[in-house]
Parts: sequence; structure tokens; C-alpha cells
Amino acid sequence: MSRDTIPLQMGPIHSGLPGIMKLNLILQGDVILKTDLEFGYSHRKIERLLQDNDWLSSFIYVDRIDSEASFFYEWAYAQAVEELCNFQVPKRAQRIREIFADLAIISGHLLYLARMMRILRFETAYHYILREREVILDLFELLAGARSNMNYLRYGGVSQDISEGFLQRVFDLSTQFLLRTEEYRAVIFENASLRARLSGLAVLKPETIVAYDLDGPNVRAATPLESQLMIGSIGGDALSRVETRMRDVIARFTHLRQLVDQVPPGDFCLFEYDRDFSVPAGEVFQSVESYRGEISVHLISDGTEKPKRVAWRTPSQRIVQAIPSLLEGLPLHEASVVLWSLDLSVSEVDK
Amino acid sequence: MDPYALAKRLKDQHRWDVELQAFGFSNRFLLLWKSPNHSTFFSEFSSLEEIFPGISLSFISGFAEGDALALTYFFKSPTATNQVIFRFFIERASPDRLYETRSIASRFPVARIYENEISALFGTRFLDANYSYSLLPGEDNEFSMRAVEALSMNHGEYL
Repeated sequence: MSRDTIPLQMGPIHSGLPGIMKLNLILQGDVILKTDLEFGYSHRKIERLLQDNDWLSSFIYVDRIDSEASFFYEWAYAQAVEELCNFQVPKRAQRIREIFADLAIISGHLLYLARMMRILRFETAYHYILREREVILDLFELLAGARSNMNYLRYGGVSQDISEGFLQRVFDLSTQFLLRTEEYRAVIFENASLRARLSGLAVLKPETIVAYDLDGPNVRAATPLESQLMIGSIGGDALSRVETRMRDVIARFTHLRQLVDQVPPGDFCLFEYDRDFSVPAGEVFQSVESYRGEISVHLISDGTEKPKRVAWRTPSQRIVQAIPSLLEGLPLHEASVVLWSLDLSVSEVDK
Repeated sequence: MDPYALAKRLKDQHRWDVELQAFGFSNRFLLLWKSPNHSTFFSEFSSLEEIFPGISLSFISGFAEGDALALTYFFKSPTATNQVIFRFFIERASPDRLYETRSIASRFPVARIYENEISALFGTRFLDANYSYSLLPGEDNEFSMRAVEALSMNHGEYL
């Protein structure tokens, strides 16, 4: 290390970081030259816990991989087990899952947008966004009895049917949000200082996307098709990442308004569970699309009452590897904005 | 490509010692490396790239099978209709040694975090890896995913 460079440790507990992680930075003045990442401070041995507990207990641990995205981990896991058991999920349960997935994607994106506004010190927008998200959390509570770590899915369906008036509340929320789109556009996306701050910041390059197998909204924000829809964004930068999520929220609410009319009558789960539930021997690799990108599970069963192996491939595992190249050459004060703009979950990395 | 034709081509033309096995119930197949020496997998990887141009790594997963470690590599390619899945087993010279294999991270940078995780959870040394392991920083030196858990390690050497 030369005399004019400065080593700086950021974290593991730091208000500018999106979780318990550490950045080992090398600075020249206030410019970041090199970044090494350290994870594992919140490693909870979840994959081991899944192996050591029976199939019915699995969802409780699966939820904890990332509490905010718990529905998607439950969904991937349920689908993997259903494939091994050759279960056909009832149509009603499938529709309920799709509605839940849309709500979970919106909730995740709104939380992302709120955090971005907070880190940029746009307090008004921050409170507007949380106002909408609170209604979604109320819907989760109505449906699953919990606002996070939902433990709602079951192999072959969902744990309980939707209650009376639930679909109407989803429809009303969607309508209300779509009417407020202009409000968001004015407060957030037409704000010149926000656009100037985020435009051109930390551009995700095609070679980085390929090298680290990236997907999800961060990559969509870097594709030419999405970039054409943006005003003043060069595509792949922090501004386009924010805009892509807002567009995604609008698309999901529009989709929800159609979905609520398509829930057929019928069973919400294939069968009642008992503690002797076991899964036939076999293995499967199953993926679902979460609001951060693709979540996959490699599940192996040896036919006993516990899984033999459950390995998770998470979107944050891939995106964190792009951090060093994105931070290189940026001033230190931009590091937090860049990290939050990627929508990382350190909990997903550590597991 | 038909998986049977792929397995035959890898065996006949590239001397890969593989056997085709069913994977799950959705028309997927796994190519199991049969011989204990799996170094050809790394040294002759370009033969797979010839068959599947643009092949990329999706995931590496490990599991303990007795005292052996099974590594499963999930690849995808624009020219493959389904995933291309490889598995081989690694034995240790003795129970107090780490598993040893080669890293694929120089070819597929995304492998870094998966190898890192396997290293921390199973006690594996990826011989030509040019990165430091950091999944479990600090004092936690147990290998929680091994069949027989928790051998103490100090800076890469057993106590």
C-alpha cells in the first residue's frame, strides 16, 4: 500500500450499509480504489437446521433466510417438494399464491423505494411510500396472520383460505395506488436534484451481468428496452434501478386488478397434514422469481421424515459480487447510495 | 441436445468418465463422474464449451455422502433445452484433512461465492482459488454441513 492511500473498514454495524456486512476499502483521498467484502456475521446455519428438522417444520426456517422475501422462499421450497411428491396444487390455491406473490413483489419494491428515499433524505416520499406498504402488510396479516415470516404456504396449497372481503380490499388498494401514480411521479421522479444525484451513478455493465449471473430488476434496468422508457437515465444506473421498480409496482397492481376476478372456488390445500409426512426419495432443482431476482433451491430427499440436503441459490449472493467493480472510482459518500440501490439482503447471503 | 447423445459424445470423444442419471421428475438428467479422479472435468472443460457455446454456471451445491463430499455443478446454455448438471464425489486422504478440489472461478466468476460457501460449510480447499474465504469470519471454524460435524481448524491447519 502506498503512502497516499488509506485503508478504511466500513461495518459490520454501520447505518449506511444494507445489513451486517463489512467493506474493507482502500481510499485515495475520498475516492474508493479497492473493495473487499466480508459476510457471515448473520450466518444462522439455516441449511443445516433444515436438514435436522422434519418436513413440516421447514417453512419456519425457510422464512428466516430473508424475512422480507419469505413468501418466495416458501414458494420455491413448496414447489420443490410438490415436484418430488407429484402433487397437483388446486387451482384456487395457485391463484391465491399468485396474488400473494404480486403483493409480496410490490411490498418488496415499495420497501426498496422507501429505503432509497430515506438514504437520499427525501423524507416526504419516504412517508408516502410506507403509507402504501402498510396497507399491504395489513393484507398479509389478514391472510397469513403475520406481517413478515409468514409461514403461509403448505405442500399442496396454502395454510388457510382467503377471508371474505380480502379480494375486494386487494382491488381497492390497486385502484387507489394507480390513481396515486401521478403523485409519485411528481414527488420522486420529476425531482431534479434526485435525478441529478442518481443519474449515471454505478452503471451495471453487460460484462458484469454475465460474469455474476445477475438477473431481476437490476438487470432489467440495464437492458436497452427498459432504458428507452426512461427519461434522462442512461440505463443500468441507480436512477434506472429506481424507475424500473416503480414501473414494476404499477404493472403488478394492474395485474392484481385482473387476478382478483380469477380465483375459482374449490380447495385451498390438497390434504390435512400429520407429523408423519415424508417425501419420496429423489432430488430437484426448483426456481421462482422474487422481487430481487431468481431464487433456486436444490432439494434432496432420501425418503425419510427429514430432507437430506437443502441448498439455496439467492439473488443477493450474486449481486454482492458486483459491488467492488461498481464502487471503484466513486467517492466514499456514494457507497451507501450504490449499495442500497442494488436492493441487497445480507441475510440472503449469509443464510 | 439429447442427453444420451451428450453422454456418449463426452465419453467417446472427450474421454469423460460420466454416467447418465435421472434428476427429479421433470425430464432432467445428471451426468455423474464415475472415476475417483475428476481432474479431467477441470482440465478438459473447454470440450463442454465446444458442445454448448455460451455455457454459464448457475449454481454449485455440495452434500455429504458418508465421508465423501458430493459437488453438483448446474450449468445453463442458450443452446441447451435444459440444465446441464454434473456431479462428482471427493474423498479425503484421512478424516482430519480438508477436501481438496480445483476452483472453477477463473472461468466462471460467479462460482466464487458458491465455492466460498462450500469451503466454509464442508471444509474444502479450492486449490487454485485466488480469493480469500470470508463466509464465516472470526471464530466460527466448524464445518456445519459435514455428516460428522465440527472439526477444529486453525488457519487452514488442524489442531
